[in-house]
Amino acid sequence: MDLLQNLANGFSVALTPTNIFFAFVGVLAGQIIGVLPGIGSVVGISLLLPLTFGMDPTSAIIMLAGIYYGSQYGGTITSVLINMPGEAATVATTLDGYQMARQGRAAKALGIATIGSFIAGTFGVVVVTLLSPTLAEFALRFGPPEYFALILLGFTAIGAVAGSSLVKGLTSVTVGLLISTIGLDIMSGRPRFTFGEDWLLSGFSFIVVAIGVFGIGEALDGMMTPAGHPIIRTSLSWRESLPSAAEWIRSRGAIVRGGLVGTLVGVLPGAGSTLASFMAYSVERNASKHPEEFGKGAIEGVAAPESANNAASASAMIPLLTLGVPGSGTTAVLLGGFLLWGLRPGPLLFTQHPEFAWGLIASMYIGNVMLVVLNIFANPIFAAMLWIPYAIQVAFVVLFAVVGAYSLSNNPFDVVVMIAFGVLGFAMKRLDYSAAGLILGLVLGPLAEKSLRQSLTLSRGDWSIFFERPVSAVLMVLAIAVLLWPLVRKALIRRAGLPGAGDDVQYTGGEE
Amino acid sequence: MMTTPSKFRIWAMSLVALLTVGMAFTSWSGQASGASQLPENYPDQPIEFVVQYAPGGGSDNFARMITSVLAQEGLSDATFNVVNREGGSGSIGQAYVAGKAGDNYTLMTMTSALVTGPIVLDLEHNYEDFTPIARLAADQLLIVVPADSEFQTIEDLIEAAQAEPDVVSWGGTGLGGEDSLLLGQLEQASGANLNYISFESGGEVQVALLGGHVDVASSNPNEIIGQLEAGELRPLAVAGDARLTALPDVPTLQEKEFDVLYQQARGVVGPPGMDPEVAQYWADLLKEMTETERWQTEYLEKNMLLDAYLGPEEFAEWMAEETEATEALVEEMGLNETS
Repeated sequence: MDLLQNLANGFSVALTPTNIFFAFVGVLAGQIIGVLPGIGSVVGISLLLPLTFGMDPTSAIIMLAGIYYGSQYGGTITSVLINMPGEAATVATTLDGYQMARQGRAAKALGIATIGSFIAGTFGVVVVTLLSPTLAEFALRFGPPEYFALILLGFTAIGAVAGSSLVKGLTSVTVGLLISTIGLDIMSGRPRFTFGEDWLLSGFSFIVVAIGVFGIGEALDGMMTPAGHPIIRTSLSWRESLPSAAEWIRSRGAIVRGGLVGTLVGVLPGAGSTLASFMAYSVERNASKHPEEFGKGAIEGVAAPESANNAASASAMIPLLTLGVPGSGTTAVLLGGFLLWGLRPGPLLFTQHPEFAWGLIASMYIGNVMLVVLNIFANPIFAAMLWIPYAIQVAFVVLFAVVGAYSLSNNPFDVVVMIAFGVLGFAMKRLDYSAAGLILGLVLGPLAEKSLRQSLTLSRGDWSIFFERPVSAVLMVLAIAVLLWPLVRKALIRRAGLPGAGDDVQYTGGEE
Repeated sequence: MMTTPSKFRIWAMSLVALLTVGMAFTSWSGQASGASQLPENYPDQPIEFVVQYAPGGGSDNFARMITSVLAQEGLSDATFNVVNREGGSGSIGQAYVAGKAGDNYTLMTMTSALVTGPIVLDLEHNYEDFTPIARLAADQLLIVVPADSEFQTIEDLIEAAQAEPDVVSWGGTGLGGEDSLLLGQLEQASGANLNYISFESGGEVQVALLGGHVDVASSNPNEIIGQLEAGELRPLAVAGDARLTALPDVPTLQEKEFDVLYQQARGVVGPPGMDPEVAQYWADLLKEMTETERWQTEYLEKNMLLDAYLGPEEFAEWMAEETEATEALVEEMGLNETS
């Protein structure tokens, strides 16, 4: 009752013409910022933050939050169309999204991403509305051992991104892990593998590597292919961008599971939407009846990560609003904004500034509706970019990549790094190594290393810390079970198959 | 289906794109610095205010607050572009500003990390590579525990840590970071031994502390005011030389007979070889700014900072003293052994 009253008050704040206007400006800006590679929501929000100085804080946060979740919609577009993730959280989307685009289903991929984003994003906001305090409690139960166990579970996505050969997939992940060790060693505070170069202290920026390996790698590959790059032109009919009945049936489970994974992982500070999107992709592949289609343009492969990252961007607001702790880079900038407007986020925000907190939550419902309408109409227009001759397209891809890498932190080195990784990405593509595997290693490596070493420092070297704590123990068992499941399944098939069928023996042999 | 465009055409186009952007990059370094004897209504060009840390952080807030107070109080009609050049523990932005020798239109934020970074991390540029302008504020470090902690006083904590080494865990943002230097001082002063756990950001430390995964942490007051007000966290002591007006019941470590004094500074510096008159111009303007009601309440009071203005010369002396003290501390703690 209280809740409904609060939410109604929130809507009365969010539905004033001024705030509707600012919500629209925010989601539109977010959409555009998301489309531009490198200029993610962090940079976008920090650019617009100074403009909010004189504004009413509620209008300001409504606009900036709109940029945040709007960019999650926009980031999908370049991932699907040109294989260049605009945001870290959309890397998993490239796996099947770009394949769909090459098959002439670009509009369809964007369509399912929009619908999934809307449903899961709204689900995330409902959870924020109903369960903020409960989920904040849940987030606090995650100490270093729980994070490590969760990330171990994230590593099970390796199977999903490995591609045709497990050995090559693992090699890619390992290379990513090795790259992630460059920079400051978090526990000792000493530089590692920086060769005395100050600019390497923060390691290679994840998004710079992703733009290089995916965007430039793909562009180089296209240029080196004598016949150009056959992309089947997508139909521009508006109807084509909506899923068919069969596709909807395939996707709806993915959207629900992606939304759940995204909401839970998004609540955890530091884990965020990137981990959520990879985990959702992996969950989906494991749950799917036809896992062999993943990586070749499976529509669930787009629906799952896109649902997860939008749900995560909603639930990432929970630690910010209830604890005053930023859960991600973007919410850290929002926190900076709170302070500039003279608001103190934390446990008392909801009681001291209810119009602000509830106005924000209400505006997120409205913003998601605006985004779904905007995108449903805009998707065919974006998809039409693929009608541009490839030679021109590729020049723009390179231009975007360079501008994106530079604008990330105004550092020219990043451009050099990006191009170097582009060459690596091209080589990997030609030799059939998984670029997504490299990214997975790069994203999860530092998280895993950090939480493992924190846990073992806390326990003074005792490994049982991972199994003594209930949450951690459950996650560990789950992670180990999922990691071992393919082997168990293989053993089962072998046992069941040995008495007669030669096919099964051949099957198990083929995967060694 | 696409027809095959000539490879040459593709290459040419990409090259053009690259060159265009490349030219844009090189242009920034070529900014000429004006002739001498500038002041007298000096800023005739936009001022680039470099923040060597990410948006939303303490330095970012500091820089944006300065520009906002200067504008709102009508103290300066200069145009400020606050530019974040984060990365490499501040070294990216510092290298950028260090490379703009003689530029009178660039300012950079300064924190104690400009003193400690070169010592602990062997960063290339230390405070001597910049033109000191002014120190504006001193940030305190509070030692805090969760509300339900067994430690009621700082003595409780120290006694537990003396009794058995490495049992009490202290969450911080990395060895060599300011909180670890504070812990180092405290351990030396008390003979206690705590188990230091590194996290990546202050936010992560707070979550670990609130969840009871670590026993104690240090934090700048403004990061945790929300939790203090809500009674989720409890401060045991402050590391500065005086109690905070907002927290009159929280003792200083020195009162409790621990010989520990640790304060973080926030200030502004310029590129190397900035005109002395220009540096003085900013020092005077910033002094005037720190005296405004708006700065006092909306920045200092709100963030529980102390007014700590020092002009160019005293600021330089102070940084030299801090460097010496930090070098000695780092030596004793053995932080630089591995290098």
